[in-house]
Amino acid sequence: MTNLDAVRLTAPGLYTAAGVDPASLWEALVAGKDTGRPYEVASGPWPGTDTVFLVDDPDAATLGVHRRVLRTSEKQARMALYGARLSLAGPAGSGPVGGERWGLYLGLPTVDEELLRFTALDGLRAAAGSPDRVAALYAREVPPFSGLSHLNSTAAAHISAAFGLTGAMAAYSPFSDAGLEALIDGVLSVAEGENEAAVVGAVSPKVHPLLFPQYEELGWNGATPGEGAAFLLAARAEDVPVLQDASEHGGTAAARLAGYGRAFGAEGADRTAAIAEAVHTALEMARTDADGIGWVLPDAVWTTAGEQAQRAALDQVFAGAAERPAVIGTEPATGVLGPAHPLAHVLLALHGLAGGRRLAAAEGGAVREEALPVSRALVLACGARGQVCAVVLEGAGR
Amino acid sequence: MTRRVVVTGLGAVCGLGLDWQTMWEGLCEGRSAIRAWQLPGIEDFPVRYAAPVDDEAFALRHGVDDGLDRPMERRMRFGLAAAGQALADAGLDTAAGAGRPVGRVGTAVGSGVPERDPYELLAAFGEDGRPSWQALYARRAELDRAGGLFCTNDALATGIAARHRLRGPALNFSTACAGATHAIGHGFRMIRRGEVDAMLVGGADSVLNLPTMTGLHLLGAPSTSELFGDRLCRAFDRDRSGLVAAEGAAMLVLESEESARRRGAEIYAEVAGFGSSLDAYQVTAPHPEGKGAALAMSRALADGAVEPDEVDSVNAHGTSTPLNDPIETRAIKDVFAGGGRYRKLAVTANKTMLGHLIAAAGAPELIATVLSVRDGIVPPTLNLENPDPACDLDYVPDKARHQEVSVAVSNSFGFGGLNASLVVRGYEH
Repeated sequence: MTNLDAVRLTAPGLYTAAGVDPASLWEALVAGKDTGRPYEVASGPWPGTDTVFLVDDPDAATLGVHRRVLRTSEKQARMALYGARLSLAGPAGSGPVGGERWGLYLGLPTVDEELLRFTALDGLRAAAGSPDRVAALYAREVPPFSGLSHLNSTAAAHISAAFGLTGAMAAYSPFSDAGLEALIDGVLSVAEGENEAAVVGAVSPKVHPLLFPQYEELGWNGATPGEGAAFLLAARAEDVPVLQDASEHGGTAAARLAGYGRAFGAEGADRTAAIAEAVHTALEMARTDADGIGWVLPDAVWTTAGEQAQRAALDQVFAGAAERPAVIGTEPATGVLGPAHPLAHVLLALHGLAGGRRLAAAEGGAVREEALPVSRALVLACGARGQVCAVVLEGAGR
Repeated sequence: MTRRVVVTGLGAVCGLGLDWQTMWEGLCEGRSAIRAWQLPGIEDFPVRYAAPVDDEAFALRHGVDDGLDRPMERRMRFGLAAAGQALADAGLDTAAGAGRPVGRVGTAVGSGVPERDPYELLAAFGEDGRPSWQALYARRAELDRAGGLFCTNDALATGIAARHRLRGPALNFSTACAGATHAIGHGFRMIRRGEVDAMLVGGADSVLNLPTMTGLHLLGAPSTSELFGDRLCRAFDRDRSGLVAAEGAAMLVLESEESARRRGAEIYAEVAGFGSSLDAYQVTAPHPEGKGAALAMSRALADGAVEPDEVDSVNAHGTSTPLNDPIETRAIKDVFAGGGRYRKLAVTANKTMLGHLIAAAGAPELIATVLSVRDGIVPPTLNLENPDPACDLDYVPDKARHQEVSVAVSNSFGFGGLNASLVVRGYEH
């Protein structure tokens, strides 16, 4: 049987351009801190993206792994592993982590990395008329472990090996809905007794020049990409007091997933209807309505069509609400984080729920902090092709 | 809410045939789709056998009328075709306007890695004769729109959902060779808990392209042997030397029993349980004791409230790789140790006939498992001529076996130790 109330969300692990915990992100947003970095590759051809939200590529020592792990991973897998490490630092400080009842649920982008380096391209051009020579070039120039490093699910293998997770698992890709799918199914795995705890996380794509034509083809609205990872632990409510001891290590008070909805609408009115339907389903499951939501964290939708659909759907859902809840997300400090974006929002919301605070838009594009009138937040994810997930988070006492 | 979940529609496109009936007939007759093969125009590629889809036959069957003749990734083409078949088989082909009404229907697939154009970076050469990302962006119109850079991993699930107007969730699973089995398992769970009434589930993949095959070859995954010709896939045989890559798709319609009975749909079998696990071992090798594989099977049985001694058959992952086969054997023996049940199991390796469909592999193998239960036939494991002493189960060598199969398990184990198993049971009202 599914009992969402039996599960708590705790142990945040957040790695973005704004820092390594939800509090840093919160402060960066309120302070209007400039967290972008120059991105020389993009300067010139991609107007407005000469600054993006990059993070450092974690090295083996930071990740706590052997150097050989670097050969079978790309930056996005390493960001994911670091996010998991940040999340599990607290629980690991208060008890054993891992084992047969600890699962893993991940939202993963595609690995958009070139197989051949630019230094090999003269050879490719020279060989282009001869498939055999091209094949020989690939055999010579492609990195030997590219079959693993270009496979996005390798991140799951690294995380499970690093923390000894052998519980039930799943991994979804490639856009923002994947992050909330991971959260929903991770929580369900605990609620339904399959896992005692589930590490839930998502990672952004590495910011790479090949992303830009891809985004453009899908209807890119010019949103600035960012890098990062967002992780948390879905644990049985009775175990959370133990995990709560980790709060001094950057944790936060536990909250719960009170409701969720998922749907699909390919385009136009169908997409708007799908978003509204997912939100209504989540609200109904949480036994509340639009008035019961104190903070909306919409997806950082990077397509024009998705942006319009999300705005229209939120207008529909909250049309009858006594007061429109604050609608704001992390984009000004993190950029668009792909699958990690909605989970970064979840972590920001958990931080707010814990302190009874929320963020709201102020004049001139600024962000202000204010009291959270209702202890519930709505987080949305809208995939680039019409996938939708919505979750309602609720503050939960011990 | 806990509901029973049944299979009401099947679709398949693979080297053995372009529909599930032909595939099943081939499996039962012990026909292999594996043949001498080479990447287009490439004579020296070390991998020389595969199980490709017959493009000419596919074009004749699914070309213009189905709109599958336009440029698109091969996995997309095969997946859309198999999905259309499965929905039509279930009487739910809403695209054709002939479907009978059903409640909320979602989509969940495993679809592997994008099929990258090996020449895409030639667009990075600018007028100065040097490559740069700026030049690539300026020449981006020349990039192949049907290639993997633009055909992101969600394209298949959302493409199916859009084409057939399925409004339920549309998910893509990225768990390597266990992708389709994860998709099927999660679709099963979503119906069982009442989130949706039906799910179109399965997988599609094609790795038969230069970039992906190069990556697999450098890992040493595919066999490069020429000793056995088209009998190269030798699961559980001591002379096995690696997987034989394949391509294709298979899709199933899963539905709540209530919905299927209300519609009067034909029910092939019941999906009873799903289990998954992680090895937590190495990225490059499975756990040597088969710990993760055993956990996935045990969890699937527990999920379906099925005792090991109720199981008659296991559709093994059976890749014909040196590591998988003895480790999977050990895992099966561990799970079915009680009363020596493992000695009574009919274990089959469909990959000896289908090849390895990678992310999609679990889908045609689940169809075979479903039909095994329905028809009372266990397809054979081909080419098992010199059994490995470490592989000492009954693998149904050479010829299909007619026997009652009340309950069967289907396994998929992905790179890096991402494991999934499903339990299928004969349907009884």
